[in-house]
Amino acid sequence: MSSYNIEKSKFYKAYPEDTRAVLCRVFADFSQHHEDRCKNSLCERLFGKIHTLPYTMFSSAVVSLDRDLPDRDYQIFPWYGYACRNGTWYRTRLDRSPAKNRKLGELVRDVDAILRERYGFDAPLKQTDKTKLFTGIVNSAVDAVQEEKRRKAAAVIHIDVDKLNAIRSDASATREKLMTDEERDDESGAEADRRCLCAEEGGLLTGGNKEYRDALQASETTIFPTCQESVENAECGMRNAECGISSAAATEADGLPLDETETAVLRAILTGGDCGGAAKTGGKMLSVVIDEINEKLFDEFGDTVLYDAGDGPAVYEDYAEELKERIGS
Amino acid sequence: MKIPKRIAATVINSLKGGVVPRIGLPYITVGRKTEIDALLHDVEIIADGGASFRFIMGKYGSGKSFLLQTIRNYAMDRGFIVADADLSPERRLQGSKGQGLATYRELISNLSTKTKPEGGALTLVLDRWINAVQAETLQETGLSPEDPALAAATDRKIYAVTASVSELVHGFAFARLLSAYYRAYVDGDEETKAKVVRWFRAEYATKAEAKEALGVNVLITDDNWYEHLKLFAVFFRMAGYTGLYLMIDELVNIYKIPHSITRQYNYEKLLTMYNDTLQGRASYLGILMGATPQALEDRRRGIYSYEALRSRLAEGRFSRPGARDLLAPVIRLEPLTPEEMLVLCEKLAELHAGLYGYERRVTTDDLAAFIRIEYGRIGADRSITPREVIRDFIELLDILYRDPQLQLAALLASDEFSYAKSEAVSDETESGFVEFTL
Repeated sequence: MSSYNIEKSKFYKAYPEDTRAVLCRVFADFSQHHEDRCKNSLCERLFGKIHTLPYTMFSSAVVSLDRDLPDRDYQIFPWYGYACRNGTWYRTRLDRSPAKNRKLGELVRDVDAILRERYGFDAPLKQTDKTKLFTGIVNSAVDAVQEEKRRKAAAVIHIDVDKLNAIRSDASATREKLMTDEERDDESGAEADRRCLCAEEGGLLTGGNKEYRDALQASETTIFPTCQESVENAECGMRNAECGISSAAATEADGLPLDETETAVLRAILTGGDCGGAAKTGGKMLSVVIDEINEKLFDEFGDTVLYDAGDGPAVYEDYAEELKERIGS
Repeated sequence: MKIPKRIAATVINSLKGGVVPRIGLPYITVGRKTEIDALLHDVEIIADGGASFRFIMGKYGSGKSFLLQTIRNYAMDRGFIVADADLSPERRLQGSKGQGLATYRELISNLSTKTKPEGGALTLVLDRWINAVQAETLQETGLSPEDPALAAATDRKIYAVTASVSELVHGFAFARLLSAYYRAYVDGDEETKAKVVRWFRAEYATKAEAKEALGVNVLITDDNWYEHLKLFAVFFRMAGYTGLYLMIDELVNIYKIPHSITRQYNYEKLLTMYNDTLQGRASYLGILMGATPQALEDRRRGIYSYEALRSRLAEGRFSRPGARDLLAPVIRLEPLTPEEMLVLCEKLAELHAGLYGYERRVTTDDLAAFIRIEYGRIGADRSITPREVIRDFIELLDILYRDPQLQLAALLASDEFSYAKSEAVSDETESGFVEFTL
């Protein structure tokens, strides 16, 4: 019916389903707008009204037709037909022929132009004057059609089970790279390795991280003893042990991997003694000793055991009893 | 693979609550292999004395925080000091009302180590540094702790450290204060120690105040806070740590700054930080920033609106989804595929079974059915996040554990299974709003 043949449009050939869906929506929405707001419906605007007028059948015939005819109806199309009433013929038809309708053709062409613009199509059509209303209706229809497509696509989920093994093995490899010392020790159930007694922490020189220790030994950091030297010192024990400087060997008697100073400080905290004095005797700062205790006991208890209570260090209640038993206080 | 119960409990409980767990992340890391490899490579570079700068770009819920937390834990375990801060309207990189300094203060107060992962490790680091110097001096000289010569020997060692720091930009005052801290420790002067820490935290408002308290007339300000972080990175290395890793999230707060000139100043600061790390003017320093695609790529207000940054950060012509250059400064997080999500759910099922001591009953087919339902929701292709899927799945596992007779397939089809809903959109209605008259 349209003077603009959409089926010959390049855009239609590329996106036939979308074009069809949008056109139908536009027609329906535009039609509804006319029903709600206009005097005439969209069909009346495009094709005119349906009129029924008397009609002379076979007007060029040379013989006279029988006028005594029964009433009858001949419906050719819904908008075009003939009826006979009391011997008089009537014809029902639209004002304008629905074939090659120019106004409909303009409407379809405008939809095609807007679709090409929305989809970024390579061959845009020359823009004509369109009302904002019409442009809005077309854009809404395009949005609705695209949303519908997205919904349909989202509803169909394909899971490629062939990929699962590769994903699992990549995840295992990544897990191995990311595991911390704490997690590795937990998994293997191994006791915490001996740690260097130099004031390093955070795993830099912890015994469990051999790769890291080797890297540090190879580094050029010279301000502080290398891990190797510290390990040697730890093996031999610090000099001036009579001054209370701790030996590297863990005190086996209490079953905790702490040196003398750390044990003394922990005992002082548990019994309410002078933990600061115990740290000073060992030649270390209290905060440093607290941190070393937390680090050494982290793997055993899975948590820090000491915290700053505001007026001094304290033991978490959860671990107090066990620590008292093991330290023998 | 046997997963310790303590770790399984932390992971399951944190994920149920919609937060990233503090430990156990390697057990639930699925996908992201190339992204993680790239970041681990950065860690090695920094440990060797280099520096790195990366943006992690992804939508809300795409796993940025998960990745940041994973690298954070790994870095702390490797001996790094990690500091993190989320930008906000009050915390930026630069601002006329001290918003840059607010970010610095947040970073310094959040300094974390392996045994102090919750932050507040500055004082500990200073104390450990001094202790380490003393231990080394003792070892080298063989003197007793009471020997007066020990103090002089330690002084010389301290001076050697601070002298090397003083050669850097803003290093002179920094070195003086390190020495002041040491002297305060030797003299038992807790008050001076506290003052030095206050200075490092940028808590002095005026130079006069700092001069009166400590004898230095320089301050950490909105203009020079980043230079001081570079100093800290070098100092931490000298103190025995591997380096300093900064993690700054929510870069979208710079995008949201309404005034374009202010945004420019912030992007200029970002450019300075980026250039420093990549041109070798920073050592032992890593910077990771989290941003949404809009905050990065928007050409009107995002980072790409600043041409100097755009030309440095934008992808090349050959990059496309599935074939990205992971040595580039911007790591784009693609959403997890349904297959990856399935494997993640498989790991959660194992964790759950291990935690509660039962034999895992959920099969791969069950998991596939669950994933299809989750991803088949309207809008899921655009807005589904791992957080929602995980919470739904753990809820299912809890239900199945409570009632072993139930089958997953039956449960998925029943009304008992409801999606984790955003609180912004609720189907619940208040009775007062059911019917009303105007």
